[in-house]
Amino acid sequence: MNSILTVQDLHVTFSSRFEEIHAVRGISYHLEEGEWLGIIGESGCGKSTSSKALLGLLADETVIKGKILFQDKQLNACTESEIRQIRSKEIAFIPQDCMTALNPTMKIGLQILEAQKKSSPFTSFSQAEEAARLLLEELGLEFDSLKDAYPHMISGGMRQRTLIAIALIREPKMIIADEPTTALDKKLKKIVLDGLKRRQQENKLSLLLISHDLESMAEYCDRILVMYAGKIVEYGDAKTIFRHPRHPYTKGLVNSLIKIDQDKNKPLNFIKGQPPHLNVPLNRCAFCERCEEAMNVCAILSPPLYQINPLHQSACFKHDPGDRA
Amino acid sequence: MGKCDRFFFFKVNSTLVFSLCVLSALLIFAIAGPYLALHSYDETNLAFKNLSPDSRFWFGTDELGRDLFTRCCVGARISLIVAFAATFIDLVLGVSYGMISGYGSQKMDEWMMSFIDILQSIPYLLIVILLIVLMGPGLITVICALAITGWMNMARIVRGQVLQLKNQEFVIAAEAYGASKSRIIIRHLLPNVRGQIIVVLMAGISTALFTEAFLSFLGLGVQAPVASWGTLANDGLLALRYYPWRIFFPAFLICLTILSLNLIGDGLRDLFDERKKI
Repeated sequence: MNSILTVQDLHVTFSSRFEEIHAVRGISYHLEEGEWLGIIGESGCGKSTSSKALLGLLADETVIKGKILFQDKQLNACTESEIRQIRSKEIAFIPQDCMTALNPTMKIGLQILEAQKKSSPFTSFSQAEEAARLLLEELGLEFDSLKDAYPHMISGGMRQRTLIAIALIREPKMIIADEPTTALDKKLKKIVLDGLKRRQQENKLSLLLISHDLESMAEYCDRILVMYAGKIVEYGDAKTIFRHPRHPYTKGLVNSLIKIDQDKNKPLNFIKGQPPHLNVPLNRCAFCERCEEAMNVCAILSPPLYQINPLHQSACFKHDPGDRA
Repeated sequence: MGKCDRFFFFKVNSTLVFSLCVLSALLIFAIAGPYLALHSYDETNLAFKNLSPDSRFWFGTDELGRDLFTRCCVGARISLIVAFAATFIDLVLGVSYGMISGYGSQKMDEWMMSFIDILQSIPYLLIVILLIVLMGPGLITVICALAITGWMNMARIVRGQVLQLKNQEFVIAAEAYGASKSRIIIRHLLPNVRGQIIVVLMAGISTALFTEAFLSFLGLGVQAPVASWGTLANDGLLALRYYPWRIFFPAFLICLTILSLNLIGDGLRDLFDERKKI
């Protein structure tokens, strides 16, 4: 397999007049063709920011450093028209907030067909409509009753599925999905993810999935990337990450999952504290204040990613090979 | 929904229909009035001065014995031209300036807004007097004065709305799907500020009517014997005590125009607002 997306040492900095916020502080990963990579982590740790930076969707004043390679093209060095080509044909983006992600003054049908028209301008209108009808049917929606509705007239779940349909109708090579299933119930979530999975098997669709829904991430993703405070803290295949998490932060995340047979009198597990504010460069492990296993070194040095085995990396001094020996 | 529904709504929204009728009546009055009248607008006859309305002089006469009905018709032409010119300038200059400023880069926004600040800090009368020195008093000068000073309010409001909208997910989503900047402005931003634009436009029209009257009153606008509603009302104000109809008719026409335009504005806003049509 060859990788479809390679990110090397990506930094994203928002600068205002008063301070600079280092939202993403040097992350590197790659996505193979037809692979699903899940990004997990708390709110505000740079998941959405790093994925939006891939397509250049952040405000113009944002500083993006590093290399973003899609196939052979460097996305952050493309001209405006080149990146528009890629956005309209190659990489689709499913936005996070389904309540505001549809234009309130446009009919649903038009918003879906507009996406289709842009990616393959030579299909006729009726062909495009047929494709939209099939796609929406697969997602459990009826195109004919939906096409003349405005976004405020349909439910949150329907809107979310519309967004997914808009992404899928152009048959992209890769999808960046920012919490695509948050407004959906279990059954619809399964329908949507199975639909995506089928496209992975048939068309080698690659997916960058951002979510807080760890259960479905564990079930569907091939590899998982755990982010904390703008850095990667653990990176590995999904089974290892969820069954044998090594980084204390990942352990905390996995532990905070609610089990159905949990003792009701015991409080729920969670990670105490807040992630650090990212307005100053951090010369320590960003997690050390909240970490139960913190050592002295954690407060003065920033840990690199240590290779635990060929498929598993973790950014914790406990996994320093010198230390283990 | 659809075309059919829009017509249905049009039927239901009786205020919109009514105010459109009033405005068209005013237009007919402005266009056809002088041909119906028995006297020309500048025909003076001191024997008939300050007459009250009767069958010969439908709106009465002024202090020089000129027929007020004809003068109101001629005034309607001037006032409506001013009103529509102001709308047009607001729409073209104000909306596009605001759009570009709001949707462009932050640097450009700062420059464009500073330019408006500077322009607004120059006393308005100074600009107008300068223009009159250059061009001489008259209708064209009044329209130019409105063009220079009138659009900034619209530009500010459109810019504010665009700044709010451009960070909304649907604009970012449109960008993510490769929509060009011009397409985003036309398809995604413009329909979402439509309501505000209409309201500001209608407020701008009444301001323009009064500004024209004020400039004419100072002798900077249209010159006698041509009259606008504003100058007629000003003339009438001097004789309010003894001949109240001289102010009543032009003032009534101004009120009627502004009221109908405001109602049209409200109606259009509702007509275009998809949320009001469930």
